[in-house]
Amino acid sequence: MTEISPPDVAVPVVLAVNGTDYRVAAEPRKTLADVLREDCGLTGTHLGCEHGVCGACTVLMDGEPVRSCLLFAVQAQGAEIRTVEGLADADGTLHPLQEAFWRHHGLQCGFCTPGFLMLSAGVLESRPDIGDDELREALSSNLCRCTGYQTIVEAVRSVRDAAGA
Amino acid sequence: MSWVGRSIRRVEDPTLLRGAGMFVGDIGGAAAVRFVRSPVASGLVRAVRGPAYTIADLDADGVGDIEAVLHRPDYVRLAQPLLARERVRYVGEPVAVVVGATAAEAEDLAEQVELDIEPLPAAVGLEAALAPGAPLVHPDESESNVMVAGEMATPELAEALERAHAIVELEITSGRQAALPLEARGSHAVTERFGGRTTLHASIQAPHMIRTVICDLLGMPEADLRVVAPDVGGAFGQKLPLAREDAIVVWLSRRLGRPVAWIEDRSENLMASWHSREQRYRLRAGFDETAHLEALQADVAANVGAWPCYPITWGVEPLMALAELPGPYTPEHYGARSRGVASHTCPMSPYRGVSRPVITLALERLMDVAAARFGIDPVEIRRRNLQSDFPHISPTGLRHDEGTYREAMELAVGRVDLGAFRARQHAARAAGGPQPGIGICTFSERTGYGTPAFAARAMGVTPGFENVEMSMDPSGYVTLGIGASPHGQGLETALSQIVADELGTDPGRVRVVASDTDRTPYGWGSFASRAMVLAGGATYLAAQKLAAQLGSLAAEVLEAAADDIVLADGRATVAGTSVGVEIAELARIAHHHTQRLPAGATGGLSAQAGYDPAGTFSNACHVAEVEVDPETGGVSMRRFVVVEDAGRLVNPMIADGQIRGGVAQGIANALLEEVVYDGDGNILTTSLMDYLPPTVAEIPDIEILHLETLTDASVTGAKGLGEGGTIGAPAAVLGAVNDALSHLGVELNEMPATPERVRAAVRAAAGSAPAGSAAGGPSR
Amino acid sequence: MKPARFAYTAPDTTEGTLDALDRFGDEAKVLSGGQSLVPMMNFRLARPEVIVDIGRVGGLDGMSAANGTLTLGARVIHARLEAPAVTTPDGRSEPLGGVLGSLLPAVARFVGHLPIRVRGTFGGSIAHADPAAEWCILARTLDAEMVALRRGGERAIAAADFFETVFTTALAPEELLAAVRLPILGDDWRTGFCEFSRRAGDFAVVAAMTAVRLVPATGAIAEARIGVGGVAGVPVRLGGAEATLLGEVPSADLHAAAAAVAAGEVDPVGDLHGSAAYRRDLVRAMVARALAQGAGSLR
Repeated sequence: MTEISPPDVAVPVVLAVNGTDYRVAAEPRKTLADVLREDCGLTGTHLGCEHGVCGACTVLMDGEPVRSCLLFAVQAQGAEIRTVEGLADADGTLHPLQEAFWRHHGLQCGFCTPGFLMLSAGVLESRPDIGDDELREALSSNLCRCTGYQTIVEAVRSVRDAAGA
Repeated sequence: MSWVGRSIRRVEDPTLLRGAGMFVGDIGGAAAVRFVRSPVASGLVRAVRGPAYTIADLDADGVGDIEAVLHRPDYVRLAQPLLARERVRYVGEPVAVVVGATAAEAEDLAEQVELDIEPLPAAVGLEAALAPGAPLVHPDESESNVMVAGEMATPELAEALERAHAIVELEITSGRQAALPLEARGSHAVTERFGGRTTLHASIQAPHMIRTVICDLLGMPEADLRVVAPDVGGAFGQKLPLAREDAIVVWLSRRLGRPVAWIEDRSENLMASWHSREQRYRLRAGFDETAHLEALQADVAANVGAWPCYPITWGVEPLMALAELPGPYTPEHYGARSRGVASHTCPMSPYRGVSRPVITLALERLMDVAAARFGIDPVEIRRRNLQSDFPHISPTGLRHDEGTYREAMELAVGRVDLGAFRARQHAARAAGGPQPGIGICTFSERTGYGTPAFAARAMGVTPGFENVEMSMDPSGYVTLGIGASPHGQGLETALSQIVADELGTDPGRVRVVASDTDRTPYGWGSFASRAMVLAGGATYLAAQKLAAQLGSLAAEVLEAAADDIVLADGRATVAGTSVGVEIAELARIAHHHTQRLPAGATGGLSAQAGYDPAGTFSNACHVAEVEVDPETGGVSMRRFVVVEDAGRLVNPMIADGQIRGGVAQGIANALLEEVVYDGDGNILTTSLMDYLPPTVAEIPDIEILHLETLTDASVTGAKGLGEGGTIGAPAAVLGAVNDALSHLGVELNEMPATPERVRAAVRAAAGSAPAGSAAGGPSR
Repeated sequence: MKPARFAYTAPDTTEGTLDALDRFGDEAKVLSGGQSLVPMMNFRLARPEVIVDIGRVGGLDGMSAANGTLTLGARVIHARLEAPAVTTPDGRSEPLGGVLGSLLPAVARFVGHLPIRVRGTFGGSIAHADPAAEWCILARTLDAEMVALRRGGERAIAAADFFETVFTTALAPEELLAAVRLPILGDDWRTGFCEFSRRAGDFAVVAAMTAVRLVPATGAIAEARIGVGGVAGVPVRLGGAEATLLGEVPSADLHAAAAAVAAGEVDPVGDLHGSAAYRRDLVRAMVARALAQGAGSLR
């Protein structure tokens, strides 16, 4: 018989985040987003709606952009998770997407930014030559309330173009 | 070379890009607060059972009620308890509060709280609340739901309407909308174990003002409360008024002696945070034979919800309409009645643009309808009506400083090539299918106003001034403390550019401190497109004072006349020579070698300044191009052009960002976003699958051109522009939708123009139009 | 917006899953991709006592074609249907061709957004039974068969019987939806799928799928299927509109006539996202467009 985790007991979970193993204990109901924020101290992953629409909580799981508010942490055991904190180099050098968002004014309040960065990173890593229309379609996954999106699209496009050049 | 006018990258960004910003929800280490909210729109609270605090606990502690005051005879004054006392007045009104170890456990606890509420009939929506015999929202204080009213008329209005060549009548309505910052509201309070001082971190726009009101409610000295707005994930007006929840969080932290935090969830935010903009305008306009608007009469009503907001009150929407309705036009005769009507719905706060998006929609529809009546082009009627003599004094006494209303419009319509568009439109009408349309909107944006403008509103408190404190430390770096409270606008970057120019230093050597009542001078925060004008003006004045101190010191050190000292590129030099000294060296001297200062001078380098101007009007023209599917009512944006005149642009990149973001919200307000209640007052839009902010797929690229009228109404020459995008876009979009379907006889005067409303308008026009015209037949 | 407590189990075999479902009955809820279930749990609109996570179960994510049937494992994610590939009997993977090979990607692009499509599953969507969900409409229109497993048993449920009402299916509490079988349409079929939603990636207000089989010699319609979502508690087939098409040669007029019948045939209930009258208008527009798309006259 498969093991059953009772509802009110925190179960041990090992999460591989940005190359580091985090050993935490989480009730089954605790989402990946909440465990990242509260147990791993990685508060760059934001919660904007908790029902999978806004994308502020987007992280990469095994290379794919996912809504971390729609995943329980127990489901993520064994997967490779990447968050915004892992985007820059270890020496602090910004990731090209971070540089591009900065240069193109792709952020204002910055709340949606980690989600957009991770979404864009996932998209460009799996489809480095993605077309403009497809890119726009992919970026329609997340919400930004400040920028009107144009500068976000320009930022991601510039990284795509620089990589392809 | 000047730093002002350059699009330098923002100093705010690296932290945010690394995910290292600190938003309220990131602080942690606190018990979770959850509010138990009314499930009914109107009712009497019989009992609250369960593990919760109620108003009785607040009353027992002597916590006061909120009084949002307008000193006007026609204003109904109320005392609002922090939790519902005997009555609930809207779905989502906080009735009780629980504290749990985690957010999930607090939610579990909240479910155990039983609210025994006897439901009463509810007045939901404007017409229901105005109807004779409507259920009253505040039956003990008022015999009607009209809570604030204003009325004015110029002496010869009636005669002017009587003798007008043509009368155009129009009714415009706006749905209820939500500002929807991507970070919902939240607060986190810690009370020190020794000394008892409390620190509140909250997602707010005006920390000093919030400190004042919370201390007033809790009966504590302001010195004992530190209020910090850390990184704030958007606000747009929703985080300006006092949140009852924030005051309760402070109270709980002091009562329980432990850190507590309330992190609003999205559902609460949509249900129980502030809404905005449910308004109806009835216009009656008299034009002369040249299509000049001579006389304008308006009846405005706004559904302002169940309670006023502090400190703005629920007068802000209706009374702004009363004062600003003539807009950029020049009717000699004007009169209006404007009412704020309470209903059993969520209270309202100002949302980006406040009433102006609807004011502008009403005026621009009026111009388009009148143009059609006169058989002239929409551009031509605006040419004949826009302000062109400055200063222009409006019939309500507003002074419009110099602007470029006509120039902006000519530039915008030139950009889109109207002739070519009309040819395409003609072809599309013949072909059937999706129909292109174009809409033009010209408007003014009243910005950067200080005490005089707020004093005219007669609020219980009068916001207005901004102060800054500036100092240069021994290393030559500048610290600038401001009372404004930026939250994404890039103000820190822009102010550092102003400082850099005045002090001859680099923006990278300027640190702006904001949003912390312990570290900044008292000020009014960031709202109403004011910060660049006011905090920017105060910064400019303070920097001049500091520059004078550096100049005197340099003169002493260099043995030159102070008037000959030039501050540039990090050096103070004697004009026309290479003789100079590093500014950092002067900073050392000012602190560490004060014996070298002029006689009588004390050590240090610091200055403060305040700025409190009367205000200035920005102006802009928006042109929207849409495509409308008459079969589905769907509208897609094809193009959007903005010509903006906001005076001197300190950082054009940041200015464009404000415009683009504002336009995106305006487009969404025009087409997508609506808070909906059912007839019983249940709110139906409590998720982002029901309330619909736009994605990138719904927002086009926005082309921006600038004019720069330098005004003497602002010491830096900068005018505000934070709200303009949202003010102009709805009218441009609705104008375009109407234009696209004009050949079908469609008139749509309601926002948002949802697909269902557009489709219904097409059907209605088909029902009343000649047979065949609904199928893309010839133009009428 | 945190979910209520639940017990959690993540079997790694189908047998283990069926055991858990058998043991917990209607206290249990199967978690597949979670892209519909978890939002409802976060709102506490769904409060299962036990979550049976099938994310670690092997063998539920196959796609194979045999005997005129395409079998989609329940855990095939939406994203895989954007470029569907089947496993051949000798274990190779090859792109799915034919009519379904183009139809599935055309429909998949309407399903949510990228992050939803990489987690959410075909079977999860079918079992969730949102009446406006693209895959539910497709299953109903093509008369898919749902393969339900229980401990010691298996049954196939026809789409017409499977969808009972909103979020409710014929699956018994102890049953697991393991796979869905779709008929492989021959090259004489013409399909179309159109939907109207308020924003990119939103659930459709109304969506329509059409499939017609043409007699090669005459070009006349020999068989017609029209399914719509967003007008009832389940995706519905429109027999009257289908009948209008039979024996006729596709044309704009024919499509308009069928669409008019379709609009008259549905009996939608209005809600926040569209009144009954508006949904009827949308049915008319979407059916006509899907038919035109199938006939090649619309993208």
